[in-house]
Amino acid sequence: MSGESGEGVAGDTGGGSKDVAGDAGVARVALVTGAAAGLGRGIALALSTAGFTVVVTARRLAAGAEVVAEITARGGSGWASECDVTSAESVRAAIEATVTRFGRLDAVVHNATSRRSSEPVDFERARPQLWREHADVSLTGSFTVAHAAYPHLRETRGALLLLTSPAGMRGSANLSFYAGVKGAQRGFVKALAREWGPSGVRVNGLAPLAVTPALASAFEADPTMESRIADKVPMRRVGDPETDIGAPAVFLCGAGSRYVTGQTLIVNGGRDTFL
Amino acid sequence: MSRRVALVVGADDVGEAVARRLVRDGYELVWCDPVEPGSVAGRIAEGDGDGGGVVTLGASLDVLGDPDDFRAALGSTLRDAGHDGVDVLVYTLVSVEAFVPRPLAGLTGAEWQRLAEDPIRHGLTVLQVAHEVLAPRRGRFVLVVPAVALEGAAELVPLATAAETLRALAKSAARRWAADGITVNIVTPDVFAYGAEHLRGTDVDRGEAVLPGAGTAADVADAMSLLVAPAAGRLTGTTLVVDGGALMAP
Repeated sequence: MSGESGEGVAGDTGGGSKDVAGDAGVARVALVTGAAAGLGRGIALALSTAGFTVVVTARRLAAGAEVVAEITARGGSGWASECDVTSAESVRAAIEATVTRFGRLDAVVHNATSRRSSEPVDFERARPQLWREHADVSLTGSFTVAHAAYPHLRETRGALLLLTSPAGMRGSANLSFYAGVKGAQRGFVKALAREWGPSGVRVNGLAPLAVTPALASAFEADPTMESRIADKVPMRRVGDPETDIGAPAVFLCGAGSRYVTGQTLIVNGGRDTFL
Repeated sequence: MSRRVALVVGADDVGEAVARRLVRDGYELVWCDPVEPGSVAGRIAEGDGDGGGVVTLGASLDVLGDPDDFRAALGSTLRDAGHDGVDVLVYTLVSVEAFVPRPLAGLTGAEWQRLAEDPIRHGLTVLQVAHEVLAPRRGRFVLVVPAVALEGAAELVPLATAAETLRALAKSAARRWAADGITVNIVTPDVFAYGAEHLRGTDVDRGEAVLPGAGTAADVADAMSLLVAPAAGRLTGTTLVVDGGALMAP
């Protein structure tokens, strides 16, 4: 569990914002969970490049602050906030601190996932606690994040984006619990999009394939793994968190997707074409 | 020839219709109603007794909270009934309370847990234990969840989330168990097949079914029957949408 939730570290807020959000003159604010590394970091950087002020949340404040330093070095604006998505109090504190500091919240990206996501599961024998570890972050976490963010997203007619996975659509023999919680997010996105549509808040999913730290470690342990995966991708490579995944995330957070809700955008080089 | 055995886990009209259909098709039935144990087993035995006896598996929702507890309860029941395995396992259990529309913003954490996450736990438990009872007979698993899993519906977020989670877990099981000759498929009826008439006119009721009349629990049972038929042996991980042609996807 995290300690003082909402505690933050600021970067230079004077960076030159570009108006990708489609609302000239307004400094839009996005909060990203699990943003200290991997996909979350890539999305945070991309959002910053696109002109958002980015709240980088992470279980360890120092790790989030490193990403904020990158944002600041690029001329963007960011703030690090400690947040443990398995704690409703921590999530609420981080979101309230964001709104207190910046006065608004336009987009929330729930990217955090269990550190055990990439571990194969002995499905038939796995104990309930292991499911709980997956569910706490992705399933309960989706509820907690959405619940805490809604009053503020309603004010800005903003966007909620959940990072899901093709595994949630296809199932997975080895990563079955990961597939389960990612499927959960698909059902959550569709239902909540229909519920929040009248208030102008959009809810979407993004299902990426990218080189995360966990995947990079797996590639090191198994040198042929990357090429085996890439061989199944028509574009013959595994995506980059910032340049390949960040840009679609920016689209789904910004005004360019103002009429898109309840959708899951698969961003994996054409690996899955069934949707 | 050994007796064909079906286990039905479910407590509502859909579960009862599925159970009746299996008995009519000649299966010996093991019935597990964790909400009201034993409430309808007697009625099924009296009304459709030609297929053989009906055995009640007295597993409460607490038992469905832990695979080891359910494994023990199911093993004991099957042994007492003289069954060495199960040919068909149909999971129809849905929280009746989850059909009550509620905005997400008004839910407490405890309500979310009860409406969304507890039902997932129950279904996951049964899936985890299913393999060992289906494997001896290269059996069939059928998951029945409402079609809100596919389309969502306002104020039914917990129901849609739980249903889609179980669908993803069932597909994972289908991938794992295919080599053992076990198939896992899914039936998704519209909410009205569950008798949720109070949802008429709400967001979930788009009135887009093209077939006349309303879907019923018996329609769900018929779809289940298709998936457990010998001719369906090549189908696994698929979803049969029983909604009168409303969705027509993919």
